[in-house]
Order: sequence, then C-alpha cells, then structure tokens
Amino acid sequence: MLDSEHPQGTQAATASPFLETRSLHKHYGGVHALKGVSLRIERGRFYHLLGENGCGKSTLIKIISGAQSSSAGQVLIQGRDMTGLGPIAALGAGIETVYQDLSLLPNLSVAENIGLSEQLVEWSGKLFHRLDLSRLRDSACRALEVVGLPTERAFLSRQVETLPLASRQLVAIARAVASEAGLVIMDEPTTSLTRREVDNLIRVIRRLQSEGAAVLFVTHKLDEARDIGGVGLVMRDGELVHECDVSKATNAEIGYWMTGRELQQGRYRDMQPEKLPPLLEVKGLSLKKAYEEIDLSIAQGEILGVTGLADSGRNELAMTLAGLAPAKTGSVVLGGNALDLSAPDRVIREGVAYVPEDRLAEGLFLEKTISENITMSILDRLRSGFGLVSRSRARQAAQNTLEDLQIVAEDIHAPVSSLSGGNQQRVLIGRWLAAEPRLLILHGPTVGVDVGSKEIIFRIIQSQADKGMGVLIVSDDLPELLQNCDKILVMRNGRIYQTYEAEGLDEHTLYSAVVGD
Amino acid sequence: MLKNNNLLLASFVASVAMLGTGAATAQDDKEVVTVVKVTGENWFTRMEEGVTLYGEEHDGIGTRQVGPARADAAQQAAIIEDLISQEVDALAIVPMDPSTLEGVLRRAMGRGIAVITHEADSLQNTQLNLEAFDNAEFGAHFAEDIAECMGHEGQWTSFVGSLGSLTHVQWADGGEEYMAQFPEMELVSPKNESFNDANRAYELAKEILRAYPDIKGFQGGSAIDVIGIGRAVEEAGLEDETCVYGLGLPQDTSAYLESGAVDGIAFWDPKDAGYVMNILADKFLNGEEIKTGDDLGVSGYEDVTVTDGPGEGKIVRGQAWVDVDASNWSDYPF
Amino acid sequence: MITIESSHNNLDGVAQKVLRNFWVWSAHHPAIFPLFLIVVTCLSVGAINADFWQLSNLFDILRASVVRGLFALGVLVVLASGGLDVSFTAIAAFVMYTLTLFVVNVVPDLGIVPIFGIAGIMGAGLGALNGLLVSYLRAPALIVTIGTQYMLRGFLLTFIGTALFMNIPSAMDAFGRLNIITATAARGSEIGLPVYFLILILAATVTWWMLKHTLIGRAIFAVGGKPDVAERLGYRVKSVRVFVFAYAGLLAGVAGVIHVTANRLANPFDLAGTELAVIAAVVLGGARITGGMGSVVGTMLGVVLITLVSNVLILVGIPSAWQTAILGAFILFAGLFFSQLDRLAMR
Repeated sequence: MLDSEHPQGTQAATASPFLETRSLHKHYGGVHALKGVSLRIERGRFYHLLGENGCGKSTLIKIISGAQSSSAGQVLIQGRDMTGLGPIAALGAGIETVYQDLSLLPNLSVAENIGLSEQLVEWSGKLFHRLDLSRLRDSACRALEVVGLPTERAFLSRQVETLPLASRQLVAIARAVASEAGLVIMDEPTTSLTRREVDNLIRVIRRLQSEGAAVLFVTHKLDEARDIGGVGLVMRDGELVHECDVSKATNAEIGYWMTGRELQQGRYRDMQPEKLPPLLEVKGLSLKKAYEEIDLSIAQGEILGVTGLADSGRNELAMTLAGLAPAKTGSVVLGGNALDLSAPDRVIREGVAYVPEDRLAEGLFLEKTISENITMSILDRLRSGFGLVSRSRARQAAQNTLEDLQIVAEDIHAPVSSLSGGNQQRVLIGRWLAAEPRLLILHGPTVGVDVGSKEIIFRIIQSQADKGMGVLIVSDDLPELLQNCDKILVMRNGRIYQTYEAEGLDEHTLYSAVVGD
Repeated sequence: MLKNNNLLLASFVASVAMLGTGAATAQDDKEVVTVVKVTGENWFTRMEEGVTLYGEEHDGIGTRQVGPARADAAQQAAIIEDLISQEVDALAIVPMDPSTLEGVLRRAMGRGIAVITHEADSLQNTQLNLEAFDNAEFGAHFAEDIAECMGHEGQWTSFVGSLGSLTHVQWADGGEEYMAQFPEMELVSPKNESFNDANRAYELAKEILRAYPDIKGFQGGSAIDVIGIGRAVEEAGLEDETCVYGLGLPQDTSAYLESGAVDGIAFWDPKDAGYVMNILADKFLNGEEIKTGDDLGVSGYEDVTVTDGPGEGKIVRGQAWVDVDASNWSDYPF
Repeated sequence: MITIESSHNNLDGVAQKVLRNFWVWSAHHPAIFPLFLIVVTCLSVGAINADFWQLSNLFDILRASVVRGLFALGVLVVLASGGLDVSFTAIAAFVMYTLTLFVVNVVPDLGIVPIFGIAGIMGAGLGALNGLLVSYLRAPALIVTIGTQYMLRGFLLTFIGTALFMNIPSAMDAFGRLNIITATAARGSEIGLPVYFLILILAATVTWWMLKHTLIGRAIFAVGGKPDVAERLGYRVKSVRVFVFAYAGLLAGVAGVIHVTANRLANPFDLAGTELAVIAAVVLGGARITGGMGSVVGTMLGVVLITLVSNVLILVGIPSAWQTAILGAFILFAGLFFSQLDRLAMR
C-alpha cells in the first residue's frame, strides 16, 4: 500500500524533505531543553538520534509527534507547517512514534491496536462515530503480513498484553505500516530484546524503509546503529552538534560528540588478578524448566559474565543466586559455608547483593529520596544505641555513596524520580555497595543507560573488584561483558555451553556461541 | 492540588452548615437537644412538633431537634460528639443502633450532660429511657390482632427494618411469644430485613408469598414495611385472605388500609414522645424524681411505670399506642 | 499459575491440558463465571423448592433487576474507562424525587416520555459535573463521587424535601403498571413482566453497541487501559472521562424514574447504600476495578446473580442474615477467580 501512494519508493528523496524542523526551541520552566534544533529527514532513509540522557532527544521527538508544542520554531511536513497541531494531525501527516513503552494499549486487541488510529485520524479525533470493524480487520491483516505476524482471527482478537515483548514490538511497527507512515520514530526499540529478536526487528524495519518510509531511531546502542547504517544525529545539551555517516563513525568519535570528552574504549579490565581464593562455588545446580547441572566458581576480585538468549536460563540462574528462585538440587558455597538460597533476606545477610534488571519495577522506590533509597539496605548498621536509625549516620553514608559513584543530584533528599536513567542506576548500585557485599550480582547493569553513565558504572564495577569483591554480570550486551569480565560463560537451553577467557575474545565468536549458529 | 482542597473544604463547610440548622436561642437557661435517627422522615418531622412545642410552652428552656441526613449510626454518634463539645444541658436521643452509642453517651454523662433516650431499653449509659409502651407488649398486640384475624391458625411471618434495630426485633419476638399459645399458628421465615425500603419489603413479601403460598399473617416492623407488604398483597389479589398488621403512619398507609391490603396499623404519636422526652429532661435537670404512677400530663403517659434499666438509669413506660384502621385513619394529619 | 506436579502418566497430562485450556478460555470469556454461579444457584434452590420453577418467579427477578441493571451499565462504562462512580444512587434519588415533585406540583399531565427525557438530561448533567471535576481537577474519581454523593443527598434532604409521598403523577403510575406479558402465579394471581424491563434491554443494547462499534467505545477502553498512551495516540482523554460520567448519570436518572414508577411512591431516602452491591455486580461480571475490562453481557449476568441471591434464598428458608453472607462469599470467590485468571492470561 505504501507503493501505491509513493511510487518512487526509495528514490523519494527529492528537493523538499519529508520532515523539516526549523530552529526548534523548548523551555520547561527555567530549563532550556531545546536550543534551536534544525534537521531534515528524507523518505527511505535511516536516522539515528544519539545523545546522553537528558540531552533533549525525548523533547525533540515529542514535539515532532505532536505530543508537546515547541516554544519557538517550526515543524514542516512535506512543506506544510504542522507546528503545534497535536498528535492527531501528526499521525494524519504520516508520523508514527513508537515510544519505549511501544505506545500500545495493553487491554485492546491486536487488530484494534493496529487499525484504530487510521479511523481516529480519519474523523480527526472526534469520537462519536461508528467504527468500521471489517476495515479495521482488513488493514490489520495487511499490516501484520508485512511484519510477518500471523493474520488469523484468533491472533487478531488477542489482547496485546498477553503477547511476548518481541511480538508486541512488531505489532507497534504494524501500526506504523497500517497508517502508511512517512516517518517512523522508534525510541530505543531493542532495549529489552534478545539478539535474535533484534535481528528480526531490523529485517522488518528494512522492509518498511524499502517501501519509502524514513525511520528515526533513538538509541544508546552504537553497534546496532552501525549495523543498520544511515545518518547519525548527535545531540548534546539541547543542540544538534554532529551529523555523520553512522556506519563509518567510531565509538570514540560519537562518544566525544555526545559527552564533549574523550571516553575510554577497549577493555576496562586491565589487570588480571593474582589467583585469589574462591568466593563462590556452585555445583550441579538445577531448576526445573530453567537450567540444569550448572557448575561455576567466582574467585575474590574476579568478574564473571553470564550471557545467553532470554530463554537460556541465565535470568533464572541470577534469580536463584539472589534467593528469588530456589533451586531444586545442587550446592552453593560462599566463602567456605553453604549458602541458604531459600529467601532473599537470608542471601543478603550472607553478603550477596543483587541489582535487578528492571530497576523501576524491582529496585528503586521512585518517590522516596536518594538517601532513603541508598540506606535502606543498611538500616541495621545505622542503628544508634536505642535501636533507632541515626539520621546523621544515614546522611553520611548517602553522601559518601553520592560522591563515590559521581551521582549528579541537587542533594540527597531529592526524590529518585528526579534523576536521569543513568543516575538512577547508580543509586541502585550504590545501595548495594553501601551494604559492602562479598558478591555483587548485576543483572543488565547498563540497560537504558547512556554511554557517559555507562563508563562511570564500569569504573565502579572495576574498582569494587579491585577491592576483592566477586562480581557476576548477567547481560546480553556483549561488548559490555567483553570490556569488563575476566571470564564469560555462555548458556544455551539451560546448560552451560561454553566458558571463555574474555581477554582477546572477539564479539563475533561470542555472538555465534550465544545464538548457536 | 490546592484547588481540590478548596473544593473539599467547601463541601465540608456546606455539610456542616446543613447540620446546624435551627440553633437554640441564646437567652434560655437550659438547652435540651433532641437527636433523632434521621431528619426529615415524616415520623421525626412529627416528633419535632412535640419538641418545639415543649420549648414554646415553657420559659427558660430551649429545645431543638437535630439528626443525620441519612440513617447512619456513625453519623449520629458524630453529631452527639459535637453537641457534647457545645456543652448542651441535656440530650434526648432516639438511637439508630443503641450499642454503638454507649461510649459517647458515657462521655456525655461524664461531662454532666443529662442523657434521656427513647426506644433503647437495653442501653446502659442513659439516665432515663422513655418507652411509649413495653416493646414485647406492643409486639404481642400486633400478634393478637393477626391471630384473631386468621382465626388462630395458619402461617405467618414478621419483618424488621434491620436486625440491628432492637425495638423491631423485640416486637417480632413479642409477637412470636404471644403466638406460642396457639399451636396451630406456624411462624415461617421470621424477621425479614427490609432495610427501611418499601421496594425491598415488596420484593421480600412476594418471595414469601411464593415460598409459602398458604401464608396469611404479616407483622410489619419498620413503618414502611406495611406499605411494601400491602402492595405485594394487593397485586396478588389477596386482600381478603391475608392479615397485615404492623407499625405504620396513617397518611402513608391510607391507600392500603382502604383497599384492605393492610388490615390495621398501630403507632405511638412521635409528637407526644418528643414532648415527653423533653418533660423528662426538664424534670431531671430540676432534680425531680419520676416514680411509677406519675402523671406526665400527656395522653398515654398518665400512669407511667418506672423500672430499673440495665445500667444505672431507669426506664419509664407509658401505654401510648394508637390503633388505626380503615375507619379512623383520616383523623390523623400525618 | 497451576501448581500441579508434573504428570506421572498420560491421563494426568491430558487432564492438566484440559484444565489449562479451560482457564485460558475463561480468561477470554469472564462472563462464564456469573453464568456458572447463576446456574448453580438456580439448580440448588430449584432442587430444594420446586416453586422456584415458575414463570412468575423469573418475571419477578427480571423486574427487580431493572434499576440495578441500569446503574450497573453506567458503572461498567465508568469502570472500563478507569474511573469509579459511587454517586449514581444519589443522582437517581435526586432526579426521581425532584422531578416527581415538580411534575406533581407544576405539570401533573406531563407524559411519561418527556418525564424520562428530563430525567435523562438531569442525570447526564449531574454526571458530567462528576466528569469535569475528575478530568479537570485531576482528583481521584472515588473521592469526587463520594463528595458529590453526599452533597447531592444533603441538598436533596435539606432543600427539596424529606417526606415520602404516595400520589405520584398519573403517567408514572400508569407506566409502572403496564405489562408486556403476565403469568399466573400460584393462588391464581397475575404477575407481569413490566414494560420498563424493555428500557433495560434497550439500554444494554445501546451500551453494547456503543462499546463495540463506535470510536468512543474503543476510546473508553483505551483510556481505561493506559491513559497516557491513549493521550499520545490522539484520544481526547478528558472528553472521554466527562462522557462516561455523563452517561452513567443519564442511566441513573432514568433508573430513578423507573424506581418511582415501580414503587408507586417517591421516598428520597431510597436507593442510598446500594452502590456497593451494584459495583459488585459489575465486578462479578468480569469488569476490573482497575479499568480497561468488562462486558455488557457479563454485567447483566452479574446483576441477575446479585438479584437472584438477594431474592430467592427465602425460598429455601435461609435466614436473612445469611443471605448477605452468601453474597459476600460469591464476591470474594469472584475476586479470587479473576485474579487467578489474570495471572494465567499473562503466561
């Protein structure tokens, strides 16, 4: 259907771009979030919007998609001024935005999620109109076919919240297909997907592009951006500071433009620790329907990486070691004593800290202060003589963590929700470091974190290991593992497939081991 | 956020203003406040006439009546709390649910406020409780009418406003006790709760007619029960086969009295009860003692019986019920 | 989560699969739950007392479901949009009493159609007030509607009147006595299915059609599922919120008039305190208190179930105090059932 409207397909890049912004400004109270952003987007091309958290990327997208209005400047779509016309007008003009939460309505069906917007736009947002159910189904079917999802009725009427994440992602793209979007904006589309799912997603997006749509990615994953190719747009402090061919740009180059300083490339793990005594020893650990016969050991000061596909059992293994999913058989010894994994509080008492993957859902209390979030794991130790928590000691502990981890915050009594993603993650890590654990388990430590924050988090991990703490990183960010670990363990189908020394290992070998090519 | 607060505040002020209607005049030496179950029901509107009348006829005493806008024991307690803090001289209370008021009434007495109650002979914390009559006798009185009407044989049932309304339960029990002397009378599905809703009483009565097709007798509890029962009987065309008696008000029940769906009602005049509560309060404040045989100067209360109550207080009983049927309902303007 | 140990033989495996398929199926058809309880209640009451199986009894249950059913349709729409309404009984009481008083004293000859029209408009107006407060002050719906409930009731009893009156307008009285068909009950009396039952059927059909076949219907569910996403996708969230409360108010106004015509008297104290039973009926029918779910069919079945339990237990001689307890058990059971379904559907 895209072809019929735009017969030129990929050659659509003509004199007038599909979308153009002219010196967009946005003020939020006293904050100047956008400082004159001008950009041109042509049909049939890929764009990657790069930048640290808080650089103005989200604001720019919200203005383009009509969710917010700009303070000054213009948005032109196919030469028409669309400034401040709202989401319906933006949709109508062919701009489809897939936010990180996918902008799906979880309780509505697949067909409705795909096809409703079309009719909503047609009636320009007025709600008192009959719904054309057969047209809804037809356009949903056509779009589902394009993205390679089933088109039978049972699937069409399925509630979106019952689908796995990767399928939901595709449903969101199908909506863009159905609305014949000229520009699809994707906000960190691959954050929670496994490599294989990412590959499939990219295939579908390429098809979209080949039919003439422009795709604008907002992403932290430079490697992925390079794989896809296209124009790299780097933002810093509300300005578009750099434009480049992303496939040719180096991490160092982009990192420099994003942060304004040189970032360390290559391995953070420079020194190999001398043979220290073993800290954790796992033998024959099995959990039904998750993993079997896991043997592993971590020495003091050693960093072990665990990776694999989402269903490889890696997540469950991490949960077991945190006391969240007690294993049926096997033995776990920590520092010479058997470790009781039956409940998380026992594990914590033994000196194991677990930083979960989903920091918002499982870790942080967003409305509480930074200080409260940091000290909640060590309230025992902060007690004064009368068994009450000593305020001054708590303040001191929180302040120390703030400085150690370079958390950027007004003060320790600000709510965690006021921090950027990278700083939030550091607060969570800081909470567990305050407890001075013997073993630190990090589950996806840099998911949704910008490169600047990533670097700081990596340095924290290294310095803790240097002090003799054992670290276990469970992650599917392969460069992250290669940069930080001594050993990397690849899991497949619930078993350990291979163990690698990280030093000198290349990403391609590791990736093949993970996906099993 | 600020806006919301203002809105809440505004509605709060409005509701407080509603409660405060009819404040006592300031020059009276003694202030007696009557607290009823709910304001505005015809019953308590009539009671207010008696309350107001007493204040007008007697110098040096201010009388007024208050009550919650809906029948809710907690709201009634809150109103009494307010009155305690206003330091009135005496409270005359018709409790919604006597047991929930024990605490607040003890506090009132502790503050030196005289506590007079009505329709609450199980209440511990009261100084004088007024009963228009003995509740068991009143229930027996209905049962007597029903039994006579049914020829002393057949099935009958009883209704209550709610199982928490003690007097209603006592009437039902009194009726049951009276009926025990007639072996041919069979009580079925006793104490149906109408929740003071005529429609609910109607639905229940219909179900009872279906479950017990031969039923003949109905004893109503709340004043609204006979209306609902009467409608069910009328729709079933059973005016002549059934005997419906219970508490009721003449005007509200008149249509069913005329059609014969309701055979007879009895009530005590709430105006007199309101008036007599204030007599008792006045006498109590003056330190006068009430004894059996006293004449309070109001019809039905010319020869009261005084007995010890469950607590420190005494119970004062009259014989003040009024029987009404198709022949005389029009004598009463309420 | 089915916590059954892994199968030791094939039979167990098959049983497990059947059970699992049943759960999945019921997750998509939550109305099966009230239907199941209705059947169980009917069969057990009917087995104990054969008088249950009378056409007149069915008529009585349907008749008693009308007012509650209209309320429930309003609550369903509000719940689906992620709101909560407890003011509908106060709206109904206000409309029925004020309007009846007005008609009796000013236009005693007004026909039943304009009466219903005015009731609907008054109800919708009062409901829209709720909606405006909820969407523009961003106040929680529960608090707003508790507030308006008390204010309306207080206003009604303080300024309009408190006396019960029996002489309702002739048009209302006549409409209340109009039957579609009548059945003969035991003892030969006639029990009819009143015409106002058709109003419930009409309202249910309109609500069903609206939820299923119009943009506003889908928008209601969209807003109930994720209001922020809905807003981003261009749904007018505020309009939707105002609309649902106005719709609930409209149905409440109509229900109020029906209550008067059926009861043949206007008592301003009526209907108070029935809110929770109505919300329970809607939730029994599969709607989520947290919004975004619910169906008209389920709601109607929930209403019938509640009416059934509160009316027919007399037939089996269950004391009145126990009737409430049984109702409570059903609601608790429903809560557990649906939370179990939720967890299963996510797997």
